[in-house]
Amino acid sequence: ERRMSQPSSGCSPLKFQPLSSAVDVSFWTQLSKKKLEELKLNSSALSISAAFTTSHHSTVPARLQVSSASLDDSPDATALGFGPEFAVAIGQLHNCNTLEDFKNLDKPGLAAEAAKKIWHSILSGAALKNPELLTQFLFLAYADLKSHKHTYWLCFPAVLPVLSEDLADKKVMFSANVGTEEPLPLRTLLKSPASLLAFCKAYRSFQQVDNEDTEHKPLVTFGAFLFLFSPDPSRIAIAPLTTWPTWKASLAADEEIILGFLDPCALDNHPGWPLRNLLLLAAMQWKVTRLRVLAMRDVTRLCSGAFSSKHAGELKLQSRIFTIELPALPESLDENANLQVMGWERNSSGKLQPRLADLKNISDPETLAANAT
Amino acid sequence: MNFLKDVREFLTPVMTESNFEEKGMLTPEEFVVAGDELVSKCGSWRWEAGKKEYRKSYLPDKKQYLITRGVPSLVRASTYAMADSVETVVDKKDGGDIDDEGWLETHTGGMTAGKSRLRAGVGGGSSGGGGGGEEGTASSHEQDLDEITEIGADIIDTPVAPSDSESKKGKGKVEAPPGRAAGSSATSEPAPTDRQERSNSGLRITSETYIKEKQTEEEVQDIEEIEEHDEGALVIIPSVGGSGPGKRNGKGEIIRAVEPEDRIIKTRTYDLSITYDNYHRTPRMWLFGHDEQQQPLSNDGIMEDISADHKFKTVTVDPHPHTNVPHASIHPCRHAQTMKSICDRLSQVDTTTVSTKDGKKVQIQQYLFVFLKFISSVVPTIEYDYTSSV
Repeated sequence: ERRMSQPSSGCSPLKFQPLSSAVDVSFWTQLSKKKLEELKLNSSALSISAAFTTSHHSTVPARLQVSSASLDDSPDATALGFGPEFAVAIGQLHNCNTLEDFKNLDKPGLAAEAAKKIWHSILSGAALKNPELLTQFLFLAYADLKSHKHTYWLCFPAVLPVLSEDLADKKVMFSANVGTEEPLPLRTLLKSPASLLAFCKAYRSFQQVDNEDTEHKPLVTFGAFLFLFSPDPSRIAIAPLTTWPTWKASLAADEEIILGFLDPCALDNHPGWPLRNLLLLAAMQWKVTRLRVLAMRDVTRLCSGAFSSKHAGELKLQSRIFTIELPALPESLDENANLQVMGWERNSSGKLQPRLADLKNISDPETLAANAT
Repeated sequence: MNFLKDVREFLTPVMTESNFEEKGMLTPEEFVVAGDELVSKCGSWRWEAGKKEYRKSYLPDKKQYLITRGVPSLVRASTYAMADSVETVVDKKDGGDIDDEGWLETHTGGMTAGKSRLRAGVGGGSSGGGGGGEEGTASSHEQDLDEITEIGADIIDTPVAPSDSESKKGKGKVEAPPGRAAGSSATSEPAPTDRQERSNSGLRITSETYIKEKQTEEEVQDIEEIEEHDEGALVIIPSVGGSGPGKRNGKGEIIRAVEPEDRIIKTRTYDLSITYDNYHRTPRMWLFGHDEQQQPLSNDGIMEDISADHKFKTVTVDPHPHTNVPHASIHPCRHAQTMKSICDRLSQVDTTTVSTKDGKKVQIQQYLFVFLKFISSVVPTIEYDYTSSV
């Protein structure tokens, strides 16, 4: 069992760039308002939403954006102020009344609970239909309303089944591996303008960005999809994850199914965090041990309408193709499997501890008055 | 003050006829045309609807203003002023009070100096810290792969010693590129002597911010840490002092994991937005800054990123017209005039910085590219995208 999960030679463990929370000031003001007017001392968990999109700067970590609209009860993305280039992540907010409550929260327990939900969506195949089930997050918060200081901690659970109770085996994690191949720019796969054009069209049509019916225009993008690559441009297609068996059955010898995902990471040799649970889904549902993955990094441009047949030939794309090896997972894994969960966010000292937002400069009326020009 | 501004803007009739060529102004329609072009050419900019209650009727509901989020700013503007930069007065043609109000291009050099000073600053403010601890973990990781229970075994130390950066792409990038450097250039790392030499004013500013951050965070530090061992995470920890270059060399796993693009340094980021100012009939630029830990920057912090010539003069703090959150803003009172003189100049001189298609005249579609180019002289260190790149 141990050998099975070991990376094969020539491969190194693939490292994923963690998500980094980017909490908007508007979120804190809205949360404080809600606390005072509505929640009061009720500290039961709230459903919230957040969004991520592609990054344009390799010096900035992949960001999960949380804004005032994250607290809206209706998960209406127009209200969120995001757009068709964003994918949604669903979160649970635990807003504590005191710092003591915050300290006493059973953090590993909450993470384990979230991991279990993700694992079940993988086993049942629910995540194939709703890939956003894989990008759930936890948000723990405590606000000192007098000093305008917010203590908070996010967790983006990445789930791995533990294959054995033996610690040595536990160490050998379920991890995807890059082969000796460097990640390829998408353009090296789609060399001809015709195939690139076919890809862009397929992507736009899948994401429904050209939908005339504004009532049903997509508000956010699908975070994961399948990409049928074929040397014949007319065969190139994009489809939901549920299409795997259908495509697999009719695949020509020179064709390939590539797993695509919206990648918030901008680094050349690393994919972003949302791919982790997606790979587990691929390993469990499709039983693949080698998979090519398209890290979609050009969503804004492809959705904005910049793309046209005229420009397709010269379009510079940042998207990359990763070749990934996955461990063969034992059939015996089920709902009761031991799960390892990672994904607590680090604070400014690089420690796995809460972060602190000090909004005195922005929210405090007296400070504001003093700074007014 | 703001009330007056609102009234003034409300009372000003919406301009419907183009006088872009004569006065450098834009109509709302032209703003939308120019914005569409920016969004389509620069993938990082997008239209935003903003809050419903602040919506302007003369702009489409979903195209109220332009925004780009999480834009890095690696060095402080003060470092530019002190470096050997070349200054160019942009609207000299106007004559008059150049000294006071002429737009200066101040960012034509000195990236290297700026970066080293920044690093030195952060390092100095936090000596001790986590430096030693990581090393210990790192070596144990190498020797005893199966028994690690500590966290951080695969920590990638962001600013790495120069010797590391020789691999692959590293070499070319050690030399800091001139002017506005792209993200990847962040990998360059100065020699230790360089650091000490240059740690003066930049050091002071950055360590102050850092120490303040430390103090406030002490309050949450007695909250229990979580242990997590994760080989799949690319961990970026802030650069902390007490570890000279080379100290972390030779630690097996760490070296192997370090590739040039892994070395993300923690950087300030900005959310930049461009609104339409109906009183001045020009675009207006708004800035909201976040420090290296993604926390909102104070006004003083933001001023560190404004070039000395514009600080406290053309940059003020006002509520954002579409969100009401206080933002720093570049006052648009001279935007039209400046835009006109730049466009006139571009029409006369063939230039490589802004391409003028269709003969020599600047088109409406190019307005925001020119605008952003000129705004970059006010905020020289914020690396937003204004180059057309289809």
